[in-house]
Amino acid sequence: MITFALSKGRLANKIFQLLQNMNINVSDFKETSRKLIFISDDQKYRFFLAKPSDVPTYVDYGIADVGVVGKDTILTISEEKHNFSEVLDLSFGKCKMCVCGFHDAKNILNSGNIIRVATKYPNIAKKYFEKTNRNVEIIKLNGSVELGPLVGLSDVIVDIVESGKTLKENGLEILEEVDNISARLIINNASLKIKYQEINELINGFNQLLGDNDD
Amino acid sequence: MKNYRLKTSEGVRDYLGNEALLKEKVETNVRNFLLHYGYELVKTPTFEYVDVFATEDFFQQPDLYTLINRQGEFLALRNDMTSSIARVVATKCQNEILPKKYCYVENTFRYPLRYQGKSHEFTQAGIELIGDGSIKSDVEVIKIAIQSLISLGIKSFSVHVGYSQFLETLFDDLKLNFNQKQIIQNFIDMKDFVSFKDYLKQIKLDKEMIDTMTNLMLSAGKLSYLETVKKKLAKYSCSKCLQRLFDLYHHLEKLHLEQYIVFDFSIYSYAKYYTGIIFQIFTLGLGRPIVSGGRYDSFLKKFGFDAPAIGFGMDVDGLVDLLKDFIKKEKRFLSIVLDDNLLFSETENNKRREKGLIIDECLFDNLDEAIKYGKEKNYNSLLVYQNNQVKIIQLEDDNI
Repeated sequence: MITFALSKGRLANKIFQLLQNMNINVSDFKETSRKLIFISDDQKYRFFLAKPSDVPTYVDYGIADVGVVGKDTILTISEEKHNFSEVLDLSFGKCKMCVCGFHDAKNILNSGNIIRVATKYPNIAKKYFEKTNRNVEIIKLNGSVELGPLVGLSDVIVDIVESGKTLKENGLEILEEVDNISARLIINNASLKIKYQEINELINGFNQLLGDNDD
Repeated sequence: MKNYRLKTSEGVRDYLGNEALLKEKVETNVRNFLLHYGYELVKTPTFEYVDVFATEDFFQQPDLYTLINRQGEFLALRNDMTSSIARVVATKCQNEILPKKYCYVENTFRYPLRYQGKSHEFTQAGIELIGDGSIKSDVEVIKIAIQSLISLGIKSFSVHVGYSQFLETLFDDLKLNFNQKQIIQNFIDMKDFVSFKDYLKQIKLDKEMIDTMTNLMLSAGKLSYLETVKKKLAKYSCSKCLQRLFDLYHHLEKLHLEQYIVFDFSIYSYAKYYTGIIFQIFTLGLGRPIVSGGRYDSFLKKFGFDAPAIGFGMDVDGLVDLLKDFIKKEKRFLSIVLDDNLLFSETENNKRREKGLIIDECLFDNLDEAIKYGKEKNYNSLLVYQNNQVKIIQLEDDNI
């Protein structure tokens, strides 16, 4: 049996739809239900719903063989080694992790001075600025990060941009792109070894559905 | 100031009672098993100069437990026995006849890079076979790994075998430059095969090659899989590496051990010094390899001793976890003396101990107290000595 850890909410609904197209039916699952654990009708798969940021943890420890989670969540934890492989881009839940700020902030980014960065994702920000060899002071905020530059708390922000509407309405813009975000299929490394036959089947199934997204 | 007197530091733990016994037993069994294959036991210092372990070219090694001694020299707790044994071999075996075979069961220390709640102190058992580069030593080392797990009672496991230069050679065949290789290697290290695939597209490899390479990372299989890989990559020089794997398989076939073998080109190890055959053993119920090993023919050169070598390390703590449910509980007796005839009870108890029983002499004077204590502590029976006679009171329901 293969166990899935799924992010509660939109991603979970999406993945059950995909699975249905692969003839894996989970009649147990209803969007409105409060149940946390489901078993597929053919008894081959088990699913549980977890908080998105906990999904990698369940997979890391091998409690779940497979997880579906946004790339942003993986980035927040994966600054070092972890015990799972990122196997497929499920190409839904697409958005971008970006450095944003006022137009002028571009100069600050390239000035060589210390940049003040407000973000919900301190690890991602730290890693990105380390990679691009810039010194930063990171300020962790828990929401409405756009306020940072508006009220003068920070020079720029690092945040997820979906439509860019919030940015625009507040006079901010995307300055640099950090990474593409979308839902990813992750698999525990040991499961990938021990259950390689079942998992290969699963990956191939997903690949066929996604048409190998070669565009 | 905080007082940590009642805490253990992160990543280390106590072993008590049955668990400690089991760990001890596993260590003893593995050690004896390896000794019976003629491997010489080595014990090395728990800490040594950092240079022994810092075998990469960088000085920063965040996974090492480092210390500074009074002379201001940098030391580190050993993170891996292979380095220590390499030092021993390079200093003591320069003029000895090869091959040398060593085994060890020791604790090693390393910071797991991120995780919380994972161990920093590991007990590792393993062997190093130094001075033989032939397929025979590959077979011997893998055979011993398999047989030792079987002897410990681990039933279902699979030995994933790969070849460490296989990918390197393929990259060279594809004429990738140093920079590209590093980026790809980094994605493999991070196990991020989405970015891996994207990058291969970006550097414009043809679709078939991208699929083959992604497949190599995500698939594994038996002999037929190895044949498919060979066929697909026949025109590249990397396919020559595969011959060694075929040979290995056929040797193990003669020993009827081939059913454990799975070919897998994605295996990757903590140690980066491997140069040929590389293998990891996985078993259900443990989210990490129980055994990792491989050939490291150029590693000893760093210690000034140029000789081929192969070995493996076994995760003893993992074994303890796996075997926990199979502990046979020993029968334990409690004894109490209700008169002054201490010599009688002493002789009687010793007779029983000689037969291998565990007899705990309780310190109470009162029979009821002894029974209460014995029941709570799960002793099987209570031996009551009185008037040169012994009476046995059953404390558990099952029969002795």
